[in-house]
Amino acid sequence: MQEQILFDRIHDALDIEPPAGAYERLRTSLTREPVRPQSWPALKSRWLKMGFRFAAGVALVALGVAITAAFFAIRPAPSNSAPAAPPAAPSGGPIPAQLTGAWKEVDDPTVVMILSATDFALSGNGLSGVGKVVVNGSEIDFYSGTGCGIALPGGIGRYTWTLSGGLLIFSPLNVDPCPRAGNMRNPAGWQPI
Amino acid sequence: MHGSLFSYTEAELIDAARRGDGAAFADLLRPQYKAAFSVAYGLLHDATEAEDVVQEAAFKAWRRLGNLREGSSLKPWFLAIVANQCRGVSGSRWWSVSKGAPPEGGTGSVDVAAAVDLRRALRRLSYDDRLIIVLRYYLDMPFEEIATTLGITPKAARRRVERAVHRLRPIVQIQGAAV
Repeated sequence: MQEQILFDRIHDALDIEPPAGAYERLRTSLTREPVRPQSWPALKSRWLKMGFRFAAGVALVALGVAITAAFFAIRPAPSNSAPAAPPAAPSGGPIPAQLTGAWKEVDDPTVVMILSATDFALSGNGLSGVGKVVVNGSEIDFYSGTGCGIALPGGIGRYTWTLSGGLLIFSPLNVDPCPRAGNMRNPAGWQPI
Repeated sequence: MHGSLFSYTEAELIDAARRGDGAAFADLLRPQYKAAFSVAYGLLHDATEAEDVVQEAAFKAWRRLGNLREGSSLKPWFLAIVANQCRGVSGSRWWSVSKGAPPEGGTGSVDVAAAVDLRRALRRLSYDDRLIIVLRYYLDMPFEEIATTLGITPKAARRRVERAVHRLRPIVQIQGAAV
């Protein structure tokens, strides 16, 4: 389907005129209820914006801490007896140390991914979920994602990973059936937070 | 400054609105009203609620007019306020509506069933995905304008559109949609 068809279908689905007199009602309200717009001196505005950025940064760090805490909360306690691997889970081991930590998309820094030894978490732009991850050489497999809802042996996204110049880039090895696919295969990659 | 759309520039109208002239602000919003309503309707699927949201967003925009940077376009700034206002009223209501009857409206397309299916599919998307689909495929916005509205780069806007279509595709079985 070409993009134009999608345009047409969305228009068919959503086209509607505003209710009769809607703009006039808005105009009447605006005229009847005068508002004194706030005005910010330039210096104050700049400091305010810096404050917002600082707050956003703090919120991002808090999000990372919360997701990391969630990892440890859901991870089973270590024991001497090795737990049985889930059926048909991809083979591989913990992810390399250089991949662990928090990453954000280069193109869309609101999307954050946290990788621990055996778990991943994604958050931002409508995504939210945690799951399992294994590495086998240059291959990294994501599975059992809560945002995907496909149980093993399905729901596996297989990628190769490369770390170059501080950027982590995934290249798909299969068709990842889960919503994370769009984020994982972004060509600009991920940068550490 | 009543009826001044054709005799005053946008900058003059903004200046008057900043001094508290409601008619000037209404004149500023007139060219944006249909787009603002379309965003609200595309996100809420309820014409009455969409009108209310645009009205509330208009007052919010008026109060915040001082934040509009000089030389910036009013449209993406105002649409962002409308979108944020919709975010506040969607949430649980969105899901309750999505399970009910299809909303009113539509153009009387020959393929009414397909339109209803698409509306239902859109409701299953996240708020952010719905918003980007509406901006791109309903308001026909270029990626640069979407980027300005959402405060992201054009490249990120393109990728968000791709993702949203990717998520929409299995729901409506859109094959090979190119964005």
